[in-house]
Amino acid sequence: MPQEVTRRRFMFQTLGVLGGATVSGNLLPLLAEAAKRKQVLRVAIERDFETLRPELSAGDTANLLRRLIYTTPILWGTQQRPDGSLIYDMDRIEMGLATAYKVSEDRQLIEFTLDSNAKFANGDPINAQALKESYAWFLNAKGSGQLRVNGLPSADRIEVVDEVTVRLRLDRPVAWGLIGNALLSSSSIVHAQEIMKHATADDPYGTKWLETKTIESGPFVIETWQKGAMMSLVPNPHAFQPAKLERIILQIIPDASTRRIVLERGDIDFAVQIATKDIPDLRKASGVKVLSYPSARGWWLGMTWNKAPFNNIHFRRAMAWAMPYETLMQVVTHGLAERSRSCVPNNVSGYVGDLWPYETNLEKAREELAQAQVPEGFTVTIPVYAGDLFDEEATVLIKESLAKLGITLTLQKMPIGQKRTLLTKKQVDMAVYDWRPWVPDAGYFIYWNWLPDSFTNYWNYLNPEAQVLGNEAITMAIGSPERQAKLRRFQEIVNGDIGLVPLFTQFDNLVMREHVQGYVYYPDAIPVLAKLSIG
Amino acid sequence: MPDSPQGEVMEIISYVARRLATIIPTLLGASMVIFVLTMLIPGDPALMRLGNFATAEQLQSLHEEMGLTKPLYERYMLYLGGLLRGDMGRSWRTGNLVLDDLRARLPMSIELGVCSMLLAIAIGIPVGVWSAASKDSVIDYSGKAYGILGVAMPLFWGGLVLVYVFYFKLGIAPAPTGRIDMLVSPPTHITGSYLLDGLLTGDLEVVMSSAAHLVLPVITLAFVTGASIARMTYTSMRKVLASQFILVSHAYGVSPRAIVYKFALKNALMPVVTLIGLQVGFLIGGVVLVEVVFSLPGIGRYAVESLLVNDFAPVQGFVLLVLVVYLLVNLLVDLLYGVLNPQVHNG
Repeated sequence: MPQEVTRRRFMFQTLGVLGGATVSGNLLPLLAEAAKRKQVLRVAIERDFETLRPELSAGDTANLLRRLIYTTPILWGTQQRPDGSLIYDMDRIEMGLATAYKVSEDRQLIEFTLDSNAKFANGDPINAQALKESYAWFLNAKGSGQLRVNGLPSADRIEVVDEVTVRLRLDRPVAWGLIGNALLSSSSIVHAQEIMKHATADDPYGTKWLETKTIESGPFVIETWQKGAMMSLVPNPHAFQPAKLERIILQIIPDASTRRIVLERGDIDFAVQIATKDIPDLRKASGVKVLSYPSARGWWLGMTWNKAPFNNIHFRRAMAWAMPYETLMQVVTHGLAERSRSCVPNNVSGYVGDLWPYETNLEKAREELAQAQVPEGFTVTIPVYAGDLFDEEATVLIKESLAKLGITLTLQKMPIGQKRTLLTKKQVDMAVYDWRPWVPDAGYFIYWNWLPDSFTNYWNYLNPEAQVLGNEAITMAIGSPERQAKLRRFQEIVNGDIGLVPLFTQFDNLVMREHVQGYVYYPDAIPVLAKLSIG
Repeated sequence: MPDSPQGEVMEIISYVARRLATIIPTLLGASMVIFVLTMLIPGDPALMRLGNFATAEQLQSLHEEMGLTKPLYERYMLYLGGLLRGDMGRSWRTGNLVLDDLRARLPMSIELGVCSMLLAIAIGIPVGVWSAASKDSVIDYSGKAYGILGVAMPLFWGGLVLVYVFYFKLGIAPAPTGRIDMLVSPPTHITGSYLLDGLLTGDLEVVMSSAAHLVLPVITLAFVTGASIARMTYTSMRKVLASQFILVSHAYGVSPRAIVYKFALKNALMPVVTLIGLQVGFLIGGVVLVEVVFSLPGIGRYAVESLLVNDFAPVQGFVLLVLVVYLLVNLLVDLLYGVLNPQVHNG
């Protein structure tokens, strides 16, 4: 016979459920602690993965996943810093899918020898033919601007020599030809045959299928994917390089402060996108390890070359003198940045830091502004990516500084998608923005930013002499003295034109529990989680 | 007025049918407004997909793939045709049909919304009633203070404070990392609510873990929503308690308890029910900030995250879904009026 529901009984039952829930709240961290001792890595990520398509650069989280589920022929080499932490080595290459490689003297022929044991997650071999098909899929699906940039415009330039040997014949020598064609996202190996089974008349390259499904070639395979919540990955049973971790749990924690406190409490092992303002405190937190790396992610003030007064050299010089460089470094980045002094970011090969004479000097800024004949009460609308602390704070500080010159900045906050669209359509007069080259090379940065048809030449910069030098630097060997001289001259010209006002180059700060071992910092700042282990 | 119970039932059915019929043109009109408004938002979704390392050729190709090269009217007709077939379009961000994404996230939003609303009612109505019945007492002032504090408190801040105190400092709440502990497997999908599915499958670990993960977000939401309910209950109760029939009841010697709970409360509930109806829609679709703080994958967060990266199909789907919820809850509220006060005639 059912018991009568009285108010008292209802109260006790409710309290019982709440109490039980609270007890479980206490017990679960203990269970988590036990799990931690196994090789289970719990990672807090900011947002869900947009897609499993490796040809789309859809964001940091997608790139993080790409490194787990897709292999590349090679990877950057590793070196140890004096503090024992690991960082990429530009001068060395680590073998991945490829066990050896050769680059011809004219740098137009690249040959890979593949690991004969390499297999996709379904057991199919990753042989020379599979590699060719993977590259061909990228090119045919028009998925990769990168391969074309890197001298590989079509699949007929890929030659299968034997079961494990592939040759790439580039249409021109490219300074970063090896890295660009064998290490970046466009070299992620996909199971093209399997993808093409899902091709339709509307979708001739099976991209729809690949949005949410794939056959992995990387060290891990997707075990479960709860959209919007988490993804769990386990080692690829056919991986040619065994992983130490037994499982990786990628937990979506959208709020940066929440990511910070769950890391501090030890409920996760590794967190991405921790706010820079939290880094000083986290350094003092027990059980937490913070690794800071000088990066190539530069922050700039850009101004259009399309209209006055922005294209007036005196106005541009006034802006260069008016920037509160030190304040930006201290307030925005909390000292976790380097001062930038060129039109290419710090920490890239070919950067020259002695060609930027500008420091904060409002008197000189006023003199230049007077020569520019800027009308009194001049107002500029400046788009700001709402939610990006660096963008917001830097723009506010610049606004304060320019107000002293009688220039009013009107901040227009907007989502990143809108700001990026305005920039790409070259509809912005002035803005603070950042850019990180995936290859730490000045020529690579120039290719994407400084040539007339560069995709992110948001400001329409054009200088014929600089254009010739930039184009030459793209094809010359990295590190050659002749190329270094051309890059120096390039920076001299563009800095003289005040092509951009370099503000600072930020550090990348990686935060993890102390027991996480094996982290290596790469130029694209994407953690290769497969290399980690629980110590 | 119907003269038999059967006639009354028929009248209600006819009323409900007429109200439901008005939903269709409302949704059609809304679909056009939402579509045009989202299209007016400046932002190119293809650029977000490609990132910085793209070429003009690649951008053009992706525009074609995403149907962005078609004229606006053609895109709307395709969208409308899809809607009529139950297809809300595809999210480029998740790669899924919007309907599937909403279906996956809605149970979590309903679970959170319903639990929060039940707790808010359990707090708000008693506080409002006690406060109104004890004018100028400590209870009255405390109730008013709660009403002001609850309404003024930002949800985001409230959630963070609870997390900081109960999880970070005291360690008695679970990590705010989603619906369930990372190391607990989700239950077999039956309803989509982890709490219900855990109970239905007899998985106690899931029930305990999901209940534990709901406690803080539910308290955060219920504290704020309960304050609005308490304020409305208080105002309505004060009005009823000052009315003639209550004074007559006092004169007849009816006990104060009976006056408050039997006579006044029932008459004071109508505006409270209206408010609760409005709050249900908010709790299901508009609690993005709480979803963010507690890492809960609800429909509100889905819509906002999509909006930020110019993924418009989920935004359109979300607005239509919330509109349907509002329309249905409004209908339910109107029907409840008739139950609470038979003098109200649904016709």
